Amino acid sequence: VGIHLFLATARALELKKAKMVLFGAHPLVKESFNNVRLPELIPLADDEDAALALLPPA
Amino acid sequence: VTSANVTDGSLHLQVSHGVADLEDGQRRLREFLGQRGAGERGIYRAELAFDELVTNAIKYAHAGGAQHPIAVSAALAGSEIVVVIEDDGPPFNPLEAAEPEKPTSLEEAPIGGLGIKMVRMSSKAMEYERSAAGKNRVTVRIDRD
Repeated sequence: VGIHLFLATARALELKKAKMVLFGAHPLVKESFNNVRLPELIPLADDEDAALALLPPA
Repeated sequence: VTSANVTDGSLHLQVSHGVADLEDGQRRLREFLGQRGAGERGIYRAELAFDELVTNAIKYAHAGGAQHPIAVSAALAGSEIVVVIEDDGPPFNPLEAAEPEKPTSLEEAPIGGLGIKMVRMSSKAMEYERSAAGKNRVTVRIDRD
């Protein structure tokens, strides 16, 4: 379903004052995301704990 | 995937517009390339091209909602994986889509364009032609390893 899904979801969440963080990406996927600087829009963490740390407290 | 076969060493798929079709097509592509010795990186890049370009064709070339099957073929040629995506929608050259600048914010980032950029940056070459039969044809060449 392409990168569209991530962008559309993150944008919809932002409109609701929520934030999306990705984690656990395969190194090849991470490389593709870094190529287009996606992590500047949707943070990319190494694991779940690191991802949760990037989110504001509930 | 509405049809799948291997002829003359090439995989040929007809993909309709459902998410399940995309997943099924990717699985068949991965198996085909893996059985022929393509490397993990090459297989990933071929899957990326398949996913982004078929999704693109569905979203933009067929924005009116008409159901046009999308033909995908893949083959190993020397040191390359060659993936060809063909559809009979209105002329649409994904390579002419404005390449997105550095994203500034989610609000301003273009939803389209980043996927094509990812494919371009992971492939050796990418070409578009409008065929004599009136089809959009995108060819992507990827290092097999």
